[in-house]
Amino acid sequence: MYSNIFLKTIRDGQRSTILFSAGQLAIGALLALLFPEVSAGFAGMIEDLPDFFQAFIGSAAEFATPEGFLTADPYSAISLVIMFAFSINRGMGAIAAEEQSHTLDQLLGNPITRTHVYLQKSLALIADCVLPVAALAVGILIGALIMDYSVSFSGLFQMSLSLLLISYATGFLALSIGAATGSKSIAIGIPAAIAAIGYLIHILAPLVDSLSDLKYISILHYYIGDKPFINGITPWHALVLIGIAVVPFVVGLYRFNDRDLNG
Amino acid sequence: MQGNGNPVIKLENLTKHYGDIVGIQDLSLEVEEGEVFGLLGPNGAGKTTTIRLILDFIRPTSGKATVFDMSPRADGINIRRRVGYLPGDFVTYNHMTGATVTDYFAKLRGTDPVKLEALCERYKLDLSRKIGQLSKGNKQKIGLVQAFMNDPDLLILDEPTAGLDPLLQHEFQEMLREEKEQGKTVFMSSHVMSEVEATCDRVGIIRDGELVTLDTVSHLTELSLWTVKVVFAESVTPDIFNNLQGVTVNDSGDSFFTLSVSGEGAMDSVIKAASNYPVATFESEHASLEDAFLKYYSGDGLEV
Repeated sequence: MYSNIFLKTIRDGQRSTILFSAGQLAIGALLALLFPEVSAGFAGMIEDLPDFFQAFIGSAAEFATPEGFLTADPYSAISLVIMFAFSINRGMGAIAAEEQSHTLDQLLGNPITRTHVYLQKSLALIADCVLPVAALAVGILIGALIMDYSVSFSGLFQMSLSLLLISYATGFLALSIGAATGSKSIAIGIPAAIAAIGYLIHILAPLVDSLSDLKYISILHYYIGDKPFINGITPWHALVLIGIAVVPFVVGLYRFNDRDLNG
Repeated sequence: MQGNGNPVIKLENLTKHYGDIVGIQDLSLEVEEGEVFGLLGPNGAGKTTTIRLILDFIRPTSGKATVFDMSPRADGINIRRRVGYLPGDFVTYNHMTGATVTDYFAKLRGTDPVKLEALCERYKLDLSRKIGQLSKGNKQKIGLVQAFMNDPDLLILDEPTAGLDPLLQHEFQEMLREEKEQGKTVFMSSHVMSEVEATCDRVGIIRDGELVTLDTVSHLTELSLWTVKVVFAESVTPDIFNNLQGVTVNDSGDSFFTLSVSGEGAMDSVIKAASNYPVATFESEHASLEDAFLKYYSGDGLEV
């Protein structure tokens, strides 16, 4: 299990990955179990709300379907926040945490390059994010099965893919900023701020006309703006999320190779 | 045995500044194949900076380092394939056991498991406990094992015996001797003079980032410093040792003097000055490298 950097990174995070995944599975199952009862009550409530709030929450018709209901929660709320926390923490831990705990010198004293370390840590981040995202989807399927209703497999897959991509975006921001600076706090702070501001804009943009164009600067717009659970993933939105992961990845690799490591 | 003349490490005017702070300045030295070289200096003198430049963890402001005639930047992987490295203040993964840490590094280096097992036995490593539960000395043993495990041509050791008890320090010195007998090269930093004196062929003394002297240990200790105690049979004038080149009066009374004597010709002048009076006892003690080092560090300087 410790035969290379990739496997060691996976192994080091194994316990927390399992815990996060168990949490996502439980959340998915719980919300899927609650859907039939809650959605009926919500739909009635939403119909009575002004358009202003319907724009915020989603239309009553959407809420009546499992895809619409689950888009609102967990995918726009708790499970998204969990994936932000998970991916940013993993990204930060890849290089910056190793550097600040003074183990990076020892690792790089071996016949490996900084690029090797960076790539293997990146692969570990890619692999790590899959399990909690998949666990959430499995939880939803279990809940739906128990309550005897069907969920669009294609929609669930595309929603999961979108969640995975936004997790990579924030995770790779953290990884690359950590690699570029060697600072854990910056590696956490910048992607967390991007996620939080994106979240705020995503919530406020439909409510305030003057903010409506700002939605394009929110990372969440590319994740869930077109509701992939219902409408399928929008290819260029997926490409934007991939770009948010890839551009810092490349810059981070260059800076990591170019800079002095902290002792 | 000294080195064979082929430079393994070559530093040419190597300079590293951290903003306005000088890490090292114009450091030039060569470490030959087969020699044990000690870089000696107080904390913050630039020893670790030098080692981290050699291993390409940091990049020089100016000047150049080569190892096995290769550039640490361009050929780092080929250099490190032949190097065993022990970082200063060795820390490793606290959540892993000794067995998993050594196994991990052995796999990264492609180490023969038999050699690893023999090393672990030699250092009596407790491989079952987590690193975080080990004492500083036992952690350092793990660090030494991972440095030695790959049978490297060059050992780069930053403060290698920090935290080791005297028995293990002795074992370490024994291992260094064996490496040297096999023609291996060692570049180590230390602020423990006795360790350098016991293990190194040559020593560079570094202070405030600059190389103060570079010499063989034997020559440095030979020429550097003697402590002389002279007791006369009667009272003598207090200024008989004043103005002698390389002589400092540390303590004196009516009929006794304690002197520090350094540099060629200084001892001769002391003996000649003392011989004008009836000498009761004359004791001279060869000062340790530590005394020589402290004299450098105090800023007095020595002529060697």
